[in-house]
Amino acid sequence: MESRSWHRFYTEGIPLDVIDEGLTLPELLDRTAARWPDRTATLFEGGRLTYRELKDGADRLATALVDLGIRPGDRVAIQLPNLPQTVIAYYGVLRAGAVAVMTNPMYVAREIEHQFNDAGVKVAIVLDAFWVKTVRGVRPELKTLQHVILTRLVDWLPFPKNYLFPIVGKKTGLVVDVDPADRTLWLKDLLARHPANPPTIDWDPEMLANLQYTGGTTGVSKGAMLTHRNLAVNVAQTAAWFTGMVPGGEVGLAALPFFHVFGLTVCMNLSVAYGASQVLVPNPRDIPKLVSLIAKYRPTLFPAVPAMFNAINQFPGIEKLDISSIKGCFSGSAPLPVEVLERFERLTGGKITEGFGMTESSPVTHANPLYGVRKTGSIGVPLPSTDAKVVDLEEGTREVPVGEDGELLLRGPQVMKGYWQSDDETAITIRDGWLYTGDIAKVDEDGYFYIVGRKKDMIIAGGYNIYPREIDEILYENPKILEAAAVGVPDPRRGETVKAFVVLRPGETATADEIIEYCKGRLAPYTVPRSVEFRTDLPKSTIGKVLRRVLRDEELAKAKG
Amino acid sequence: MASDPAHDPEPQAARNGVRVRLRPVGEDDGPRVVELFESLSPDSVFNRFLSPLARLDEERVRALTHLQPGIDYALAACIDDGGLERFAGVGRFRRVTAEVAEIALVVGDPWHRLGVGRMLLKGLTGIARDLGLRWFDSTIEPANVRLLRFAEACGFKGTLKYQNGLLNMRTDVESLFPANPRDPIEDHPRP
Repeated sequence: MESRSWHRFYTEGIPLDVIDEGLTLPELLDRTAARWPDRTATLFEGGRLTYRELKDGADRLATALVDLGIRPGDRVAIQLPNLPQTVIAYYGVLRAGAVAVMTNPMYVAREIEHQFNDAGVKVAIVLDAFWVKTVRGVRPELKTLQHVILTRLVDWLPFPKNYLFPIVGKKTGLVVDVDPADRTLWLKDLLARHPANPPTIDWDPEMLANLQYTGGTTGVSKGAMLTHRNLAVNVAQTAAWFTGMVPGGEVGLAALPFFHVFGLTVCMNLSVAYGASQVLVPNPRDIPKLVSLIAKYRPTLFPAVPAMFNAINQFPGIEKLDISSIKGCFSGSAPLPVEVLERFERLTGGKITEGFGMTESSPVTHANPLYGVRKTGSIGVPLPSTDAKVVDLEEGTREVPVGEDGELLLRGPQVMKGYWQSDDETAITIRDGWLYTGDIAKVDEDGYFYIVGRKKDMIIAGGYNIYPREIDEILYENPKILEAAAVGVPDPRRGETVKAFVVLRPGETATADEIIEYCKGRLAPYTVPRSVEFRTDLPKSTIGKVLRRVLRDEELAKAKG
Repeated sequence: MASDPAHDPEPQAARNGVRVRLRPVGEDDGPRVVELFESLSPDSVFNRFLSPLARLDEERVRALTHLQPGIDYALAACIDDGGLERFAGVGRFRRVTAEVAEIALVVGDPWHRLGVGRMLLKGLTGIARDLGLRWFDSTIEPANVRLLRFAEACGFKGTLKYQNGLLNMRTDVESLFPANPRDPIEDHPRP
């Protein structure tokens, strides 16, 4: 890595380059299991899985998948919350040489259909409740799907919770009845029936590990092709940033969902690679539970989104609880308000490093030094082995001077191979070895980067990327609606939230609640508009193009008062 | 507004050999405009309107066919389908100032990559030059790579500015289809 202005801000112990060991993710698990076989890998509701057990489970699953006809390169979808079996499933899929397609549990049928068919998913590993609620209904449309493997929340619960849960879970919809006629398989049965005899794979770190779906610049969901190298190196880059991290000695709080690349890399894979114990949090919105887990298990590492830090800050009585075990946090997905950072650090005594990343870069590319110079509002400096620059917005070929706005470009071993079956989009996103992020940024004289806007028409709510077009399409399917435009509006808790502007067809009437209810079930929950405003017309250009930005500017002006 | 055969240019051949004739869009072209809309893919609809319209309502059809003289100019690329005239595409611009007009082109998906867009843009460029217009403005979806490449192929020179997730494209009218003695701008139908 050539010398860059930001290198002088690397604190002691942070290398300019990480060593690319050329290992795949299963090989990292093998190494950890060999080194710390009895160390806790996952903690869930009092139940504990060691690294020996995790490896054993993954190996058994890999054996079972081969038995089901899975071969290297085949796609296996995983649609699970953060559970022990999620980690087993992920590493089992990779151990078989297959490619994991992490699937958001909140997806509606339409989204599952697109993702599974686009990826060519052959096997899906799904929570039984998600199967009954969504996947089962869309099963006939899933063209390549051959087998469905189900698992229950209760399957890895310790005694006596595994006896009590079915009683409580029925009331909350977490315990469901699966029709035997569905001809699904059960994960626990498969592991019991198969030995730990995974296939011999001629490992190459350039093999695909994940097809990680994202909207990219257009909002049309497509699979970012992430290799083992991409993901393993990004783990090493992130770990290098947490100077003082003790291999085999840390406890991570895994509240970021594993189906999202942020949680995948900075929680799950980082923990596995460095022998950390992970406290699994399937529902991070349950703040009382989250806080009790911190007090009970005393995690040392806590990657999260600003909304989570803020929620903990606001938890009633938080000052009386001891959450001082937390020493290092990584904040990403949305800007972190300085007052949120300061309060959380006061409460814990730990440090939050605010950073940046995207699915296409595995994800982490930038961070503020944990123990060095942190700049408010900045995403920090590029991580080891990462290069970045800001180029002109018009053509993207000229590097702009310090302080000038332009598009952020990235280069490094964590950058994806491209988009699956989207050569056009790949060609505009990766040019001459640089990843064109679609984010507008500037860099200061020290090499600290600042995100100042987005080229992409996107809403970021609670850390989730939302594409307005997707919401518009659903609204337009409503026969009462003549025109619609979804817009991101400021929200103190989520950063932004979705507001829909609707023009009804002549003679039609509707309420805001009716429109919101219509969207539920058709859109993932975090995408559903939180408010609706009815208009007689939407702002348009002189030749009839709908101008969403006019609506957004109006909302921003209102928010400023 | 009826077309004037005396001023209409000769039909041109699209790359599939089908004859295409340019003429001004008229007030009775509503059905043809709707039919063209229905031939568009969701992406084509979004690229044209920056909104995934499900259908063209009456008000929109009216706006697209009832043009203000001296302000709106719209050309249709017409094909003969067994005696029935259909639109393969429409290009239009609306004058915003003495020198600037907002422009949009739409070509039916079955007619992509056949030169229809180029015919329309060439026709509009001729009209614009006659009127003394200097700039074409358009607000486009940044991922509309096809349009960006098309503009480049037509000789685009101008500016591209990003604003709130959209691209503001300003094209120098003179830069399009540079005229030379061997390649004069073809005659265009006058509205």
